[in-house]
Amino acid sequence: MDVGQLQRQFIDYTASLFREEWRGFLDDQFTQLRKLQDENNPDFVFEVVSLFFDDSEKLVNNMAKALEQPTVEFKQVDAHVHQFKGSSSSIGAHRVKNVCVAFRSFCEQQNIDGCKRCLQQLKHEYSLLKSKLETLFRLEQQIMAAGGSIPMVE
Amino acid sequence: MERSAVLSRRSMPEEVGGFDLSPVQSEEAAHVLAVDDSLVDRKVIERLLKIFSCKVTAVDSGRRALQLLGLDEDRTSAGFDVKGLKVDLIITDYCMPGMNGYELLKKIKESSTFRQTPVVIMSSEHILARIERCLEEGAEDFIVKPVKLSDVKRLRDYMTREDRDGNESRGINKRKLGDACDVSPSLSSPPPPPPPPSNSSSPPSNSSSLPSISSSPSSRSAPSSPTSLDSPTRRLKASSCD
Repeated sequence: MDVGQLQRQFIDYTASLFREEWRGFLDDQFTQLRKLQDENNPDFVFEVVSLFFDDSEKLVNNMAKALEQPTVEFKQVDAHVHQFKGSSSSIGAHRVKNVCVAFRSFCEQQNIDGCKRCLQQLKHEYSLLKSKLETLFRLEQQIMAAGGSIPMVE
Repeated sequence: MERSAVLSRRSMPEEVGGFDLSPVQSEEAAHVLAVDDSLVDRKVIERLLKIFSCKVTAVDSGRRALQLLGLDEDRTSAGFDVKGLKVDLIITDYCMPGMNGYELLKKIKESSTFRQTPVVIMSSEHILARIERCLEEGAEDFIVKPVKLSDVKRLRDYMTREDRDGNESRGINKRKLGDACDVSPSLSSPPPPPPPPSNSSSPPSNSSSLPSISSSPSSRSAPSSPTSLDSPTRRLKASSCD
């Protein structure tokens, strides 16, 4: 594939992640992060996203453990969800963040079934996002390997 | 995720995100102390500040921040001559385990060395009472997360102005809170905004005042010093409210 085709593919794929504003995988914050990348910090987005996914693993495990306790400490679960909501918001992970919002209200209601459902949804959304972003980063690598530059998609 | 070595990307832009990157007018780069328990957020805020040519020290707790500033009571009482860091701006998250941003703000404002240093609070939760309380305690500004380039650009303006005037610019940048939107409920029946999370064993001492104030989310008492400048609270987006 030539650079032009790769770049077009990149643009289309990126746009698809933002599509349907309320159900988009990504929101404007992701675009903000892209703007922080430059020649001297070429991997900034990749690094932040990687930190996010490492963090996510830990938080999801903590949430699962907390929900398995004989007496569930909802405040503790909520604290983890709050953290997850914060970091997902910071990278523009729109759908993940929305699940966290719902999750927090179930914690407030001390609704264990609601919490467990949200946890499953969270795991689903974040692994979906992870594979989407991996595809995106792979496209970027292909473009650069072919000598092209990464288009800025707004 | 895997990543092989990358080739050089597009050439260094003269502008990033449409903002002028000319360095701050003072001779030295401004030094910012950033406090946030989230690793992701520390990385983002650090990059944002560096884009505006700031030197950044990022720490993960209020306690650590106080230590660096030489304000940690334990250290000073032990007789250490701790020469605190020179900082031009302190930017801190509100919700942190242990000491929250408000408590850190208070400690800073109580100190003779740092009470003039501008302190900015960041929070993902847009709670009017919280914003008011922080501003009343002396915070320079309140940023609703996620933090964007435009937020940090505004901060740079404080530091530049102070360098030039040598005056406290607090009054100029007070937010017009009357314009702020309410906390928008994410459900059809508005839940009370959640209290700031912390380790379950040690809730922040000031959290008791929150539930009673925020149980009526439609209250909008504006403070008495409004300005018409760009308000961080106007950045409220319906989809990102709790």
